[in-house]
Amino acid sequence: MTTKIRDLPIGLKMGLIVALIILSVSILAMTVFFVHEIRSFQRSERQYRQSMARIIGRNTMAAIDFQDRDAARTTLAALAEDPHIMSAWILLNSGEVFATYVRSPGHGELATTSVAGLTMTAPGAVAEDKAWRLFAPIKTVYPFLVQGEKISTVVLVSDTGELRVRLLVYLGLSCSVVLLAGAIAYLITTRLQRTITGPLSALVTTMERVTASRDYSLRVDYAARDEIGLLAQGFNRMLQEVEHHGEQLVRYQDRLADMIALRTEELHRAKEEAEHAVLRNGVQPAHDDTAAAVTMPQGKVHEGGETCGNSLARLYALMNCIDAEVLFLEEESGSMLANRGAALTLGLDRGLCLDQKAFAEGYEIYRGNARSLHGVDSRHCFDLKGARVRQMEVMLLGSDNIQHYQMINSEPLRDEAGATVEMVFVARDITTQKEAEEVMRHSARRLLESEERLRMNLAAELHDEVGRDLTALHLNSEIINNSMPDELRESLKERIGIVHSLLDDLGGKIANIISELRPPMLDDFGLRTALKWLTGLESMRHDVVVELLVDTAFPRLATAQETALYRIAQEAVTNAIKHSGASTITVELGESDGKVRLEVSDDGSGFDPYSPHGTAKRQSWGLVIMRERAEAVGGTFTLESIPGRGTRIVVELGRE
Amino acid sequence: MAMVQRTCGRSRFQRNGFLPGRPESRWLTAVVIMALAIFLLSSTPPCRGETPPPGEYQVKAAYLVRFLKYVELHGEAVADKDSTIVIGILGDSPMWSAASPLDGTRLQNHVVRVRRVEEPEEMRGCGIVFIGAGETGRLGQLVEFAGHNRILTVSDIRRFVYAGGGIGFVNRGKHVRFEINRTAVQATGARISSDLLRLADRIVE
Repeated sequence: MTTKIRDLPIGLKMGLIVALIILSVSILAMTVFFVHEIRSFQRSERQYRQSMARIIGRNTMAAIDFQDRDAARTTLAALAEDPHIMSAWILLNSGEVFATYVRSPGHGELATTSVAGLTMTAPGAVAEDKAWRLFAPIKTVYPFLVQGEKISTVVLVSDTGELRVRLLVYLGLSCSVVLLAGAIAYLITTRLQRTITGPLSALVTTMERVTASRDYSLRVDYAARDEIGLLAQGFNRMLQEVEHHGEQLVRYQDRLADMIALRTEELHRAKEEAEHAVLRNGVQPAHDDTAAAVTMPQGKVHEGGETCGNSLARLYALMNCIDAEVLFLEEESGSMLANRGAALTLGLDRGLCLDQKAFAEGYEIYRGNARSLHGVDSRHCFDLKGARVRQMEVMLLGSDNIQHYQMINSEPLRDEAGATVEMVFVARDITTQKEAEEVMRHSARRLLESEERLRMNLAAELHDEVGRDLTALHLNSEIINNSMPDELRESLKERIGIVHSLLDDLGGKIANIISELRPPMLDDFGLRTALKWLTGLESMRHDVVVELLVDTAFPRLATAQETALYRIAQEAVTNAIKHSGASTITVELGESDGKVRLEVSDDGSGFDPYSPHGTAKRQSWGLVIMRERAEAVGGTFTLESIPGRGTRIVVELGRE
Repeated sequence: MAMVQRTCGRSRFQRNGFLPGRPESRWLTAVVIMALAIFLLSSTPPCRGETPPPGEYQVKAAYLVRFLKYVELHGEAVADKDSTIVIGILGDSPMWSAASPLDGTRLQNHVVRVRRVEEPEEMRGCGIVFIGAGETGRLGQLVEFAGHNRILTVSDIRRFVYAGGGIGFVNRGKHVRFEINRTAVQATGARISSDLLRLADRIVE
């Protein structure tokens, strides 16, 4: 019943309330008036009957004195004028009935029983029938006294027909008034309830439109100052705040996207400039061929690069045309063939040298100046028999104390038995490329630092401003909800729930954005907790197992190192999920021998790291960024991937 | 009830005076019967547990006093000192024996005194005078004297009110009623109540 009433429209509820109030008030008023009417009737009837009894007593006093019963009966007969007097008696003090009056014969029996015991009535007391019911006959016993002496007792019995008639008339009038009042109240309620239900309907309609269209620019058009007006204003303010924060969030997202696009463009531009610089440097002539004299061995040298018909001479000419240092070396015979660049580097004055001693001296000088850029002993590059390293980047410190970089490629020449008899070395100057790479690396580091700062600032701004406003919005929504009337709260319960759900959803999204921008646990609890959150999040988001192997006692690192390792792990896991199709990704973090080691491996498709196309190409920028991040904090980055057998990246760095 | 019947029988006998036989013998028989009846009535004790009904003169004596409630006598008829009203009983009448017990009765603010009166001059000072049946012979003189002295006269003499008396008792069956000569009463300066007038059997102007 309560639920049914609760689900009724407010207008109908108000009508019911008014009807119930009118009915209750009418019943109460009718009851009060009925009781008052009955009491008034009883009081007036009692006074009237006592007055009549007194008159009868007075008028029959002489008849009693002179024992004239006929005169007394004549006096009583005057009661016939009152249609409600049923019977009357005059009793002497001895109890003898002196005179009687009976309106109809049927009242005679009543008269006999009614006068029994009346003689015991005390002098002066007026006895009434104490137990008389509402419509039962009323008996009045009136002792008539003169100067304190009881002369006689007058007994009157009357019916309540007058009361009955009066109550019936009163009931009819009351019902008519109730019906008339109900009709008037219905008309007034119908007119007035529109002032209440109209704004509420507008409010509900606006809420439904907002819910359906997510258009927070809608407003409720109601400007009164009553409770509904306050509610509409509060709802409008809430919509305004939601709209404002939605726009603010969109602006933040646009700004982030713009900044990322800008940084990406800068990186691309830097990369292109670097590549262009390398390309431009590659076509520059390294030496002035025209000024140099070519010395051919044993009198077979032709000045000015002319063809001498000798294959060695052709080879020598070809070697000099290559923008690289080329060296043929036969260790057993000690013969060596070097072009002008190589001879210059080795400190020889001729390209063809059979003097082993001179070559050995130059070679030692060269080896002494050369430093491998990747930690490999540069001597291995020139180990003819081992030939374990075919390619190596080395740095040379020239006589002018200027660093130069070379890319050295070696290739063995073997006899029929497969034994290495001669080695060919080609050393290409990559100083400009290295400088461009250094510029690019520096730009990348700055970009990474800038991005990290941007992420931190954006996360902080979202947390401090948007989070605060969302909290205020939530509180205002609760205040509005609590300040609404119960009836209105019940009717808007579903809508209010939607608003709260939207606010919670918006808060959750903002929290996710903040976490992805800059995981707060990375700053608060360190790398281990951040990686735990990352692996759990990625496992939940994608259909892949991302497991973390880390010692629970793994210590905190420097902030820069933790940030770099977290970003590397994040990028590696993302790449594995996006490109490898792996089912299991393992992130392992440990420390040994004072070095921190991060390894991310997967069982995905893998790729060829040296292939200029395919996955390697797609991931190249990400790999560069990972490498740069590692090197920026003094670490090393190693990538191992075999097609069909997964990928593994390893980062190692020393604790700061 | 038996007493009432006997009383009634006696009254009827007295009023009708009817007996069979010759006149002489009838008178003799009547005297004997009356004597017996009087003896029997006077010697018969009342029934145990019953109050004997009042006699005719007791009723009349009571009425004589009650007249004072409905008749406002002339001021001179009421003694000044203690508001005493004197009822005089004139002549040899059973009324004396019936009214004398009422001497000293207090009625409203008055004290009723009953006094025997022999001569008209003795009526002075009385408010009401009852004239016994034996005074029929000088009734005119008495009424005239009372009228001059503003004395209300009451009597059971037949047709008393027509003779100028104030109030006259009459017997109606077993009840005692009365007639009023309003002119005579008013002539004494008394004012008579309408209640009393309404109860009167006859009102003579």
